[in-house]
Amino acid sequence: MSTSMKKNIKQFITSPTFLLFLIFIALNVYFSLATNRFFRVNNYVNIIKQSTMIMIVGCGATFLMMTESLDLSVGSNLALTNIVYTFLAVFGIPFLGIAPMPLLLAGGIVILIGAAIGLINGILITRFKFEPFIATLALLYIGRGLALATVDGQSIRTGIPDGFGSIGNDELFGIPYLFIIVFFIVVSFMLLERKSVLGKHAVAIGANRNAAFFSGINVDRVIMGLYIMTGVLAGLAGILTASRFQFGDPRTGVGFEFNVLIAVLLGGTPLSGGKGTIFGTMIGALIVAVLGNGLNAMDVVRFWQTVFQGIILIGAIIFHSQMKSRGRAKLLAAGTRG
Amino acid sequence: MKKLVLVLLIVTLAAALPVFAGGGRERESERDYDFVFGKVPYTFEHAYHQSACRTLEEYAAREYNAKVIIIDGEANAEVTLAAIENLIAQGVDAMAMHTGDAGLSAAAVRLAHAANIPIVTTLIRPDIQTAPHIQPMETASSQYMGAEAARQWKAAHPDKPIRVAMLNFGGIPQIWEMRTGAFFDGVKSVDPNAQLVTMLNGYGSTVRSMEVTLDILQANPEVNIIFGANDEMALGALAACEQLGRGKMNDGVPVSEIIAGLDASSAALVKIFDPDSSFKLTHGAVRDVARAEADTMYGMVTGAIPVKEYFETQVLSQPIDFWNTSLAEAQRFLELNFFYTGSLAADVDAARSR
Repeated sequence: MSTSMKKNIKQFITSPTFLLFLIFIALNVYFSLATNRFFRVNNYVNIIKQSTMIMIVGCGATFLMMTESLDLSVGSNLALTNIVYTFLAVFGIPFLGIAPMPLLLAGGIVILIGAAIGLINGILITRFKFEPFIATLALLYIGRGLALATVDGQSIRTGIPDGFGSIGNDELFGIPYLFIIVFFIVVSFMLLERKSVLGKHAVAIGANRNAAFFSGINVDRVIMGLYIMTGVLAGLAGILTASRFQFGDPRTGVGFEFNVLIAVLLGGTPLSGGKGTIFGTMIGALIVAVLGNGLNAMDVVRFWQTVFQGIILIGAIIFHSQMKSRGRAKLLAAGTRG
Repeated sequence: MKKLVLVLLIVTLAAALPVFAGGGRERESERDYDFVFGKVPYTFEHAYHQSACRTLEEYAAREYNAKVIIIDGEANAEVTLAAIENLIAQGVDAMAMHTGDAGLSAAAVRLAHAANIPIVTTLIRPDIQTAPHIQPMETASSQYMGAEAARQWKAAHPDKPIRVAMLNFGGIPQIWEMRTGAFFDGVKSVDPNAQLVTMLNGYGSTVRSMEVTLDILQANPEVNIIFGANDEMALGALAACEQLGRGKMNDGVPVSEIIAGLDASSAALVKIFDPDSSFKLTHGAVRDVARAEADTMYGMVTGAIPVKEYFETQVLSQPIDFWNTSLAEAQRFLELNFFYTGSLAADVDAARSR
């Protein structure tokens, strides 16, 4: 084994992400010991299925949070795209006399809607200097309202065309399409994070926006692009959710933005930006899913589950700040020695 | 160091909490059961569903030596379907679901049947009728309540036309057939000129219903009969009326309006038997619905009931109102359906003195 490889492995083992991974394993061991119903292949397939939407949107949200931004509108974006996709596939655009659309065309339109929501967020934040919290909160309300208004608050469950549920439920060589899609998205974003300038720019903007600006990074363009990217991912999640459940529901995704936020925070991307990893977010998403599933298997009522989520979040923040202080102490020690 | 200790404390607390929260007994005890049933209630935030689940757990354990795993549907289609998937993944022997959505019920039935797990639905008939169904007979009881409310109003105020407002769940068509529409049919059977002024979504919540009712009464102060499609919404309507100086009766004689609800929880009955409160009618069926669910799951698991054939088990939804139900009957209803251990008369007195 080469020295650099050894160094890389040592770096990974001592990284917060690896420790987070150990916590994830510990949770699995705990639930497996605590209940007979947890440690089953079917249950793991189920856990991964239930965390796919958080993983998909979490990829964009991680990049955003690296830049010290956040997007609270992803849940509403998901709901709006979910219901519009179903509406277009079932009814078309009746007032324009357009018949029900092929799924691919409906999906394309809906991805554009997701991108448009991201674009509006980006414009409000970069051009009109809104705080990300305020801008995306406004879009959260607008998106949810539009989703409900589109169908008068009703869900669409009849007239669903053939093939609507394929992408969310069918398999290729025994592997669900959902897993394949998530795999490609996650790997792409990992490459973006590690091998592209976008990842470096996002970290640089979050670490010190002014320094990033003066070093030639077009900060506004990067942030705008990241909001559009996150909007597109939320739109895709809307389509996949509709397909998975085989109906459209404007009430889908309530609280989804907070699940994404928790996954990203658990994964080690702080609200203050400047660092973060896609891998960490994936582990964070799995921790959220395993926690919910394990507590359900243990027959713990939901009221307590929300208490756990809060406790886990506090624990994660303390854990990450602890790791940060250690990192600083190491740097100082190295500086003193040097 | 301090932070590390804090982290360790939090981890320990997190590990111990599920045990305190009721999940710790499961591993040892599950082996002692013959069956594991699953149940997805509409939402655990409603007293009705909490009591129904508790009844189901106790009855299934006692009669069939079955354990029941309950996963909250959180009044959300996505969460409900995820709960069904979780129960399937955990390999329960049979499951029951209570949701407000016919399409969602159908999707759940399809999922369960694909996994060869028997399922029984409750209240809202699924779009596809391929599994047993428990049907509380709410329509007749809602009609009765509507007629009784109209009779009482006309007796007290023969010159004031009946104007009805309703709070529903929104997006559940069968609620019209069983609750809101049936209630209004009852009102019209007494006064054909009665008008339905408005029907808005109270979201099944007391707080939201209070806000909505304030808006309704602001725009339509002439409203004199209000129906909430569950007790939580009726209690919200009452709170709004009281805030506006209404919500009163004169020893059971209507003054400003009559409010009706549904589920017959203890919070509702305390108001209903207060002669000075305008909340006066409700109906409900908890125990018999839960028992029917357990009986059906057991029947399907043992082969006595076909898993993929539709048939309805009908359950009486017992009407309870100030004018026709005795306090003793109401007390007994609460004991049987809501694990009520107090004294309704004492609770009514205590509420009046506040």
